[in-house]
Amino acid sequence: MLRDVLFRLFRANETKVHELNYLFWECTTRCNLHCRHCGSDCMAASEDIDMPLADFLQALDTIPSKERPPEFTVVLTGGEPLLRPDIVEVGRAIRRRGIGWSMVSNGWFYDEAMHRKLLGAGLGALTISLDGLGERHDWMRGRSGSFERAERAITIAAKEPRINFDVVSCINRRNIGELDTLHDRLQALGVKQWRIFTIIPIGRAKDDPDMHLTDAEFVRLMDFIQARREAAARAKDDRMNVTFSCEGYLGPYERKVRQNPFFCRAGVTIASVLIDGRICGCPNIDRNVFSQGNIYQDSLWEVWQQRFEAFRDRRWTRRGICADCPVWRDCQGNGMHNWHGDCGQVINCHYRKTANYS
Amino acid sequence: MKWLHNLLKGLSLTTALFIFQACYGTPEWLHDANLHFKVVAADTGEPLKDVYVSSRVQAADNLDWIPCGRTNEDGEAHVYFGTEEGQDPQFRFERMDSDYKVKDTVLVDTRYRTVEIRLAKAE
Repeated sequence: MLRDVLFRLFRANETKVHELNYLFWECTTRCNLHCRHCGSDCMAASEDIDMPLADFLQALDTIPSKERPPEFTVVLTGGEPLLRPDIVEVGRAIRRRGIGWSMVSNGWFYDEAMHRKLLGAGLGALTISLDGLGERHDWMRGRSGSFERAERAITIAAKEPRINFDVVSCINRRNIGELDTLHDRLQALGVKQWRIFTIIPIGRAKDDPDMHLTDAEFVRLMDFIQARREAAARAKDDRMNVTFSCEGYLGPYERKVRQNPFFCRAGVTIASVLIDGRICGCPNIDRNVFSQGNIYQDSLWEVWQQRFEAFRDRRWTRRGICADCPVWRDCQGNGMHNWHGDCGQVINCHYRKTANYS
Repeated sequence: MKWLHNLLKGLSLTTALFIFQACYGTPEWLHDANLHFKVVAADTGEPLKDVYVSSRVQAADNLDWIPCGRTNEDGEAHVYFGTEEGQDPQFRFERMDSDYKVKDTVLVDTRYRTVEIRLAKAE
């Protein structure tokens, strides 16, 4: 279709231009929860100390201001960013440079007082994780009381028009049965955007059978999202926007469960500064394989300009089941986080999940 | 091709392509207005470097000033910020360790304008 051809051209041009507009900072790997699906195996007493703010700012300042597009965002992630005692100072220092910032949080420490402090420091976008109702969320997060804390955070953030806020949920075999009730609960809380993930088999989730949907369940999830989106489009009212994360190529469900076709922008418009200073695409990409440099030895901006070849030319992914795949030119090996270790084979193929089932 | 990238980005018909679809991470930072400031000394007209720009929404209670930029050697600062309908943002300009007065101002219709700010010497 012409639309697909145009999108391929668009994607190729974006890759060639590779304008950096989204920078993760893994500002801590400490975490107060113990999530079953955590890809980074982070813990309360992480071996990695938090990166000093000054070190990150030095790296950030290598990016010339004229090269930063208006939407350039620093995304604080972890671990749990709110465990950093200087989190407000972090936000203010970034914002003072004319740069917007946002944060991914489990919500445990996000109360009214923290909300106001972060707003005052220029918080512009926020994501809170919620993986089920009540005990299901607590089970997933490994700590009793997590649901109540997350729901409190969601209630506060959903009422705030000055931030771009969404809730993310990792759907697994235990919570797929409560999609409708979870949807209704979030909508009742005033949430406008709900983003749904599945779990990739890395970190703690690798050998946990409860974490991974069967092909039939995955298709059921796609059908759920599609139905909710179609209902919202018909109603044309203020109901919640449900979307599937841009985590993989979905074959027949492309454009039906999210606004735009799949485009893994890791290393194309997205970079990250990891806890130990390594420079990579997204933080959930295999850092031992794909790191491109280190802010303690390299200029972040020079690394962005001169490296990231594996991210910007994905032909190397034509191996294993991708070698002869008929949809490779649209999928390009799926999201980069699906390549780990020796990268002999993509570890997760969303397209096959849908194709196998139908 | 940067020109094509910029062209597509500027065309309202195709900006949907630029809507960021998060995988891991957050939605994009929310801002719907930007301003270009030129800060000069009121008496000499000389550009003033290192003037901190902060903003806040007038109607919002108890909110701190939010830092949003700093002027460069030419006295220029480009700032982006979020606004709400019916609420005009208020800006503060202050140079640390200097003898210039802090200046607060409210700007109406803030989209895509260049605004000259003149800082007076403190008495």
